[in-house]
Amino acid sequence: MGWRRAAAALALATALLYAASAAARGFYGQLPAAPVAWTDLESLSAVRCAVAAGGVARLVLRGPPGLPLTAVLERTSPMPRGYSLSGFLAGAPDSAVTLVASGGLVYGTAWTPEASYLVRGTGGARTGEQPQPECERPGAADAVLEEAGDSDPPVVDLAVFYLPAARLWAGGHRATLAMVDHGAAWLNDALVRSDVALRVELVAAVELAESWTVEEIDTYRDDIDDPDDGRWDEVPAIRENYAADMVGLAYPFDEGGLAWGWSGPVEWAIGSASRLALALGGGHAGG
Amino acid sequence: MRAVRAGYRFEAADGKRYCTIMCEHPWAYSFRPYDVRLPRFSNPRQRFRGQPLGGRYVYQDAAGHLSEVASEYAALRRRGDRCGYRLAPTLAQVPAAGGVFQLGVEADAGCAWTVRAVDGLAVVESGTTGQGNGSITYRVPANAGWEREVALAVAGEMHVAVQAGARPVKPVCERSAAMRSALSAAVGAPCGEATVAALASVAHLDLGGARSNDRQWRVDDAATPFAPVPGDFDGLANLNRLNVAVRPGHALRPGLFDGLASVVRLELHNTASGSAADRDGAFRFAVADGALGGLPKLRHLTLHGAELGTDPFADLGYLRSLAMRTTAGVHVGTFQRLFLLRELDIDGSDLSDLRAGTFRGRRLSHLRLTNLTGLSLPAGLFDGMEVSDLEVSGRPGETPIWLGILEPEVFDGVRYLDSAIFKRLQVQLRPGAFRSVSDHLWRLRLNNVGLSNLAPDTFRGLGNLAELSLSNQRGEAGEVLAAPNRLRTLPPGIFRGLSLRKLELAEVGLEELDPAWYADLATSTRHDQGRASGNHRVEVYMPGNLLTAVPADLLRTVPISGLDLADNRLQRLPPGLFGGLTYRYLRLKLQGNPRAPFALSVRVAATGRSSFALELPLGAPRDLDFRLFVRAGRFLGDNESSADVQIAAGETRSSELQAVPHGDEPAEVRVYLRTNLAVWCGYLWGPCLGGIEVDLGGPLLVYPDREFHQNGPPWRMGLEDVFPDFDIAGATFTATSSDPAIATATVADGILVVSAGAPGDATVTVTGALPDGRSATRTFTVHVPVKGRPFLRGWRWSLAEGA
Repeated sequence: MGWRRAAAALALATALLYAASAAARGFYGQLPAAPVAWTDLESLSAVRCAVAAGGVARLVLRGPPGLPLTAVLERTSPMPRGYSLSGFLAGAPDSAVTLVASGGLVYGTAWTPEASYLVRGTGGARTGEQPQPECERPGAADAVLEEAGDSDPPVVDLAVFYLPAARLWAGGHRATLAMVDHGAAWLNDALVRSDVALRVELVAAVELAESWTVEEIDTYRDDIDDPDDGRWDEVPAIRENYAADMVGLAYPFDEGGLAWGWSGPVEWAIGSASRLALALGGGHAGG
Repeated sequence: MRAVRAGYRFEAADGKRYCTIMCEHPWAYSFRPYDVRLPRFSNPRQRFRGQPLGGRYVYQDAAGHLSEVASEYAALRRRGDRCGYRLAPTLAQVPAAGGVFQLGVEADAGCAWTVRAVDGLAVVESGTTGQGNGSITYRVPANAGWEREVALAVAGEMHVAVQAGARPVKPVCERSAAMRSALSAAVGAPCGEATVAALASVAHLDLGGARSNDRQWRVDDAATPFAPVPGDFDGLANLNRLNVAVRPGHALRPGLFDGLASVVRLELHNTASGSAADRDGAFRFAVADGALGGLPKLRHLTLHGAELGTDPFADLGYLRSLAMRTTAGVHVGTFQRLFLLRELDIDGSDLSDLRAGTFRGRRLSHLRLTNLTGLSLPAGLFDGMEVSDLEVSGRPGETPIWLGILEPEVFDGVRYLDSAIFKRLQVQLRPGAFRSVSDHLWRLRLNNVGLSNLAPDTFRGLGNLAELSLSNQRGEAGEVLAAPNRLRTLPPGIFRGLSLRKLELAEVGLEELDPAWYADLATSTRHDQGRASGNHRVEVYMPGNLLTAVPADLLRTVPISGLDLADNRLQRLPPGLFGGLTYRYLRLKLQGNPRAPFALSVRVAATGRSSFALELPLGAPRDLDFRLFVRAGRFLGDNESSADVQIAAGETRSSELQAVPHGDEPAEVRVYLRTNLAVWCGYLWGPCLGGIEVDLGGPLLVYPDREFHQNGPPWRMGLEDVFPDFDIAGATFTATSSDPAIATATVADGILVVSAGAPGDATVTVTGALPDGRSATRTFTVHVPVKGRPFLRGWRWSLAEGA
C-alpha cells in the first residue's frame, strides 16, 4: 500500500502548496493575474464569532471597481497564527471562499467558475500579537478538531519548510506564513467540498537556513533524506519532532518544480510556494 | 516511484472546459487558456453543470482514492510522540534603534530546541539551545533602512519581529501620478492611507511595459510609460518583482532603486513594439552608470530598449540572468563585472562593437544572441568562455549577418558546449569545425545558414551528437529565407560515427533517400543511446522536400520511432514498408503528398479448409486491432458472432480465423478497425499516423463448401450468384486457376465452371471488368484431398477503382 500512500501524499502536498501560492500570478493557474478583492483584519474578526457559534455571516469584499463581492462564511477553524473562514460567494453557484487571518495579515481566495480573486487585507500587516476574537462561545469551532472522535476523518500532520527565496517572493515571513496557512485551509475546504474523509493539520512552518539553485534540484531528495549530510538536516529532525506525516518544501515559482513520494514512512513534496506548481508542473505529481 | 495522475478534464454543457485540482499543470504543454480549474478533487460521484467531476478510472477519482487511503494516514499519525512548542510571542515590534529582547519558549518536557537567526539580522545572545521551557535573548541592531522583519527560527516555529526603519519614506501622494496609482492599487487604499506598513506588504509591482517570459517577448501597448525618479519606490522594503514601462528618452539616475533590498527580478521596458522603432533609438531610455545600484538581491534583470552607459552593471555582481532586447551600448566591457552571470540573452541588438574575448572567463549555462542586426560577428567572440547552450541567430526577413567560416579553430577555447544553434546567418562549414567541442556537443542546429554541398566528414568526431538539424525554418509562414540551406542530396557516410536520436532535414530540397547516408542512422556510438540493449531510436523529420519515393527497407534499416515525410512528392508507398518494424509505436506523417492519404489495404487470405487471415501488404505501422462480425454464419471459437484479431506492428498477417456459413447462403463477414489511427501523439506531432488510412474493402462472403466428385461433373455457378452485388451487365469475365493440374476454371455463357483434378490446393480467380474501368474479383479455393471429396470455397469480392 506504500505507493498509494505516497501518491496520496503527493496529491495532498501538491494541492496544499498549490493553494498556498494561489496568489499573485493567477488563481488556479488562470491567466491573466487574478484581480484583487479587499477586506481587513477587523472585518474578519467581527464575523468570526458568528461563524464560530455555528451561524452564517456575510462579509462584503471590496472587489475590482464596480464589483463588490459578498462572501457567505459558514465554517471557521483555528490556524497556527490565527484562524480561517470558509464559505462561498453569494449569488455565485459553485463558488468557494477561503480566508485566513494569519500573523496580522489577511490572505485569501474567492473563486467562481467564471472568475477568481485574490483577497488581501488593506493597510498591510498589523504588527504585534493579534488578539483572537472574543466570541460568546470562544473556541466553539475549534473544539471540533480538538475533540476529535473515532468518527472524525483521519488527519494528516503536515510540516512545511520554505526557502529564503520563497520568502522573498512572497514579500516577507508573515506573508509566506499566511500563504502556507491559507494553503492548509484551502486544502481542507477542497477536501470537504470533494467529500474526502481526510483533513490536514499544519504542525510546523519554518524557513530553512540554506538556499539553493535550480541546478541542484535533483539533489533535493538525497539531501533531505539524509539527516547527516550537512544539507537541510534540520528537515528530518523537525519532522521527527513534530511527528509530521508529510513534509512540504516551498520555493519560488521562477525556479521550477519537482515533487516525488516513496513508500517509506516519510512522504515528501517539493514545489513552488509562489504559485502552486509544485508537483503539478509538467505532470510531476500526476506521474 | 511515480504517482498516479489524479486530475480530470471535461467539457461542461456551457461549452467550457474545466479541470479539477490535480489535472495537468495549466502552464505545461497541454495548457489551454479556456481551462478553468475547479477547487475540487476529481470525484465521479459529484457533478458540475451536468457533468461528473471525474472518470471511472482510479486516476480520475482522486476523491475516492484519497478516501480509500485515509485510514493509512490515520495509522501514520503518531501524536503521542509529538513535541509541542509555543513561542511567546510569535510576533513582536522592535524600534528602529534596535535593542535586546526576550523570547519565551514553551516546550513539552524533554523536547529539545535550537534557535537560529534568519538572514543574520538578529544576534542570539543566550538560549541558543534548550530543552523544555526556556527563554531566548537576542539583539537587534539599529535599522537605518525602511521597516523590516527580523526573524528567529525556533524548532519548527517562526518568531517575527517587525522593526521600524529610520529611513524616511516619501508620502505616496507626493509621488508621480503613475506611482500613486500603482501603489494605491497595490495596497487597496487611497494614496493618503498607504502607510509604511502597507507599502511593506507589496511584493510585486507592475507598472506596465512588456513582459519577457523565457524567450518570448510581448509588449503591452496599453501601458503608460512613466519617468521614475528617486523616491518613487520608497518604503517598498519587501518588493520582490518590479516591472516598469519607462518613458522614452528618460534617464534612470543613480539612487532610483536604493533601499529595494528584496528585489530579485527587475524588468525595465520601453513600450515600442515595432522593430524599426526599436532600432532607431527614438524609444530608448537611458540607464546611467550607477542607476542599477541599491539592489543587493537582484538576480534577474531584463532591459528592453535601453541605452547603456559605459559601466551599467557595476553593482550587480550577483546577477544570474540578464536579458536585453534592442539595447544599445553593448560593448566589450559591458559584462566584465557580472562574475556570477549564468544566463545571457541579447535579442535584436547590433553587436558589431563586441570584440574577441568579450565573454572570456564567463561561465554561462546559456548565451543567446538572437535576432541580431549588423553585418557580422567578430572573430573569436566566444574565445575563452564556458557555455552549455549557445544560440546565434539573425533577424528574419533581412540580409543574414555573416558569421564567418566555421573553421576548425572557431570554437577553440570554448568549453562544455552542449548545444549550438545557428540560425538565419551566412555560414560556411569546414570539416572538423566542431572538433574542439566534440566531447560535449549533443545538439547542433544549422538552420537557414546557406549550407549547400556538405563534405562527408563535416560532422566527423561528434560521437555524442544526438540531435542534428539542417532544416530551413520559418519563424512565421511566408518568411522569406535570406540564406536557405540547399541540400538536394547528402554525401555517403555523413552521419557515420554520430549518435543521432533526432535528424531534421525540413524544406532543404532533398530529392532522394539514399541508404549510403541513412544506413548510418542505425548505429549509435553512445552507450546510453541504447545500442547495447537494442533501444536506439531515431526521429527523422524531412517534410517539405522533393522526395518521390520511400525505400522499402527504410524502416527495417533504421530504428525509426518518428518519420515525418509530409508535403513531399510521394506517389505510393512500397510494399512491405512497415514490415519488420522493431518499434511498435511509430509516429508517421505523410500528409500533403500527392496521393495522400495512402491506403493500407486489408486483404483476406485463405489459409486452410475453413480458415483465413487478414493481410496488409504494406505491413502494420502500429498494432492494428480488427473486429469481425459474421451474418448467416458463425466463427469457430468462443464467440460465434464476432472475433478479434490483430496485425501487430511490423507484421503483414493476422492470426487465423475460422468461419462457416449456416446453410447454403454465403456467410457475410464484415471487418472493422478498432485501432484509432487519429489518436493524438502530442501537440507538435498531431495524429500518430497521419496521411494514411485503412481500406477495409467490402464484406467477406464465405460460401458453403461445394463438394463435387472427383472426375465427376464440374461445379457450375451462375455469374449473377458469383457477383451478387455487382451489376454484371456489360462486364467481361475471365477465370483463372493458380494450378490447372488441381483445378481448372472457365467462364462461358454467364456460367462459371470449375473442375477438380489432382490432390492439392488451387486458387480460382474470377474477374469481371466494366467498360468504365472498374473491376470486381472473386477468389475461390479448391481443395482436392487425397481421400474424400474435393470441395470449393468462395472467399470475398472486392470492387476496385481503375485497372
